[in-house]
Amino acid sequence: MTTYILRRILISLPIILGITIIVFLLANMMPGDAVLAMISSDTPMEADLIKLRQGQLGLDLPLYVQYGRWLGNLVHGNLGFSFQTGEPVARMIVTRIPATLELMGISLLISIILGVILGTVSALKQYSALDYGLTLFGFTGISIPDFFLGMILIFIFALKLKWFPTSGMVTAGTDFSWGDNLRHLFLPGLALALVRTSVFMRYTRASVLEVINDDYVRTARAKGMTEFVVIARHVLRNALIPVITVIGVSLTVLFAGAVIIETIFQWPGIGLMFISAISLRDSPVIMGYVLVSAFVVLIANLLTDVVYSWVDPRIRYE
Amino acid sequence: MTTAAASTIVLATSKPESLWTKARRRFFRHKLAMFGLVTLFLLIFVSVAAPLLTPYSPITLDLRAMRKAPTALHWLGTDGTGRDVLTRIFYAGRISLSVGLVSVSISMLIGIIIGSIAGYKGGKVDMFLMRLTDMFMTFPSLVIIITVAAAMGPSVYNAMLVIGLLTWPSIARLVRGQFLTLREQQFVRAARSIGVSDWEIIFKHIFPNTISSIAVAVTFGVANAILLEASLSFLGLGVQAPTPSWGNMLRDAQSLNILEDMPWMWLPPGLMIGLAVLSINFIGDGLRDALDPRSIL
Repeated sequence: MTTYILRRILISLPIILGITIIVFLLANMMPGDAVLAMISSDTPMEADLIKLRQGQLGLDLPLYVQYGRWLGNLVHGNLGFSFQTGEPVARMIVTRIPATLELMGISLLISIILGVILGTVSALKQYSALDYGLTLFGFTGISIPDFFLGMILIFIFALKLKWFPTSGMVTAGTDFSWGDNLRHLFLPGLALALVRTSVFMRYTRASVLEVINDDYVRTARAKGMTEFVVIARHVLRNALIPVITVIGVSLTVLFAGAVIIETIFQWPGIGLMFISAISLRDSPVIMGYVLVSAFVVLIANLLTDVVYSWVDPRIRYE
Repeated sequence: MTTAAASTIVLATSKPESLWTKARRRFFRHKLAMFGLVTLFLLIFVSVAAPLLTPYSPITLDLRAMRKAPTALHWLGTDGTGRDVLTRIFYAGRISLSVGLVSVSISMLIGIIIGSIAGYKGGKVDMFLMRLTDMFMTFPSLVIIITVAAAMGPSVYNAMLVIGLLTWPSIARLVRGQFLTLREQQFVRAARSIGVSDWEIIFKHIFPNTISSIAVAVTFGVANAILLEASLSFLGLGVQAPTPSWGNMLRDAQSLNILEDMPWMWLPPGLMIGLAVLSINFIGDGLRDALDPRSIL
């Protein structure tokens, strides 16, 4: 097991190096000059001053030297400094990531629980009206853009019914309390979760249908077990194994979806930071975020494989 | 007894149905797919025939008719600068649907080429191409698409290009997997043994066998590309004003007072995205049932 994990990490190394090159080149393709972006348009632009500042930021060096410097810093955990505020990018990410993780976590939780329950029900009542209804719901879920869903939720629950706040993470000017935080979390969490719910539902349904006619299920029934025990202990235990892989993929999609949802709900996580950095052409922040996103995917994939081989001993990691 | 015998004879003499005929019949029996097909044709019709269907321009401002609720003159009301919402939705369909088609064509081309070379050649070539594919797959696609779109500057063409250039890995993987299994089959070995060139084997013998799974993947790909374009335009990184796209129409309606008091500005374009994507997904589902009955999802 340990050798398997180690080897997986080693295989990832060239991928990580490739990723840093892509990210670096991308940031350099960004139009607009970072120095010019810092100067307000009404101050006179002194050519020498601009040159000087570019020199200070190392922007006048050849590209490969800039890359080497950047990579060297990266290894030491230094992601550079925001062109806009001068704040270290690593610190910006560390302070904002808990908010994003909270949002992603609650969405994953909602979508797994709802998805597995609905998917199982749908499979057990295959070809019933309920099954068709849920299938339709599933299709709708993957077809509605998450930002539109977010707008609908704000419209109904925040503006019309006034049950939940429209944006932010806590009510401004009040002390932090979990109740207040959760009230703010509910709508963005739901908006992010619904798309994933339909995916989990469809996979669970297919997977339950695969095993429902297996011998061991029939044996369990023949032993006189209650239907609930048969489903919970025998069917789901095997049917959920393939669903685990979907969780891995979901993390990637959730991470990307959080960008949009955080923008709509002004949720102060790294997705919101990324979008404002994009509009300000703040390339160190953009590079930092894109790198973090790639690492999240790599780690999610690794975890998925490890968990997968752990819960299903039939899978040999060779 | 006689009728049974007669029908047996009829069955025996009639030409056996080809796989394609069977697939076509399965597809046309698929109710959701038929619904999707009809809806999609309607959407294409209203966007192509937009100038015939509406007297308004999607771009010219009409400051006397700003933010009007739906009336007999403007069925879906007007937006913040007095443009007819329904007209803009029709015209936006042109943009959103063509971005979907063009970008998927790009990604399909790249994916098929890379996937078939990797799968056919195997060995080091496969190793290298698949690591490259892994690399592209390691970024959450929306994140990298946003970044590249910002780097290239926002426009319709760049949106097509960016989405096309960054969504090929899944098609490449699919094609590669199919090639890996097909290249060991008897008919390929036979072709190789009589000296058929690699290119001919790839395109004449193996590729036709992968078309059905590619068709399914491409259909879902179009749905996904439309969603990506909408997200890009919503963030202001795709189609630029004044050209309407469903995504940027939603962007214009982000303020809370429009959201609360003028739902005619943002509900219809959002529903159009959902309807377009939904009908394409239905078609994809029907194609999968018809062409690839073994798949469980």
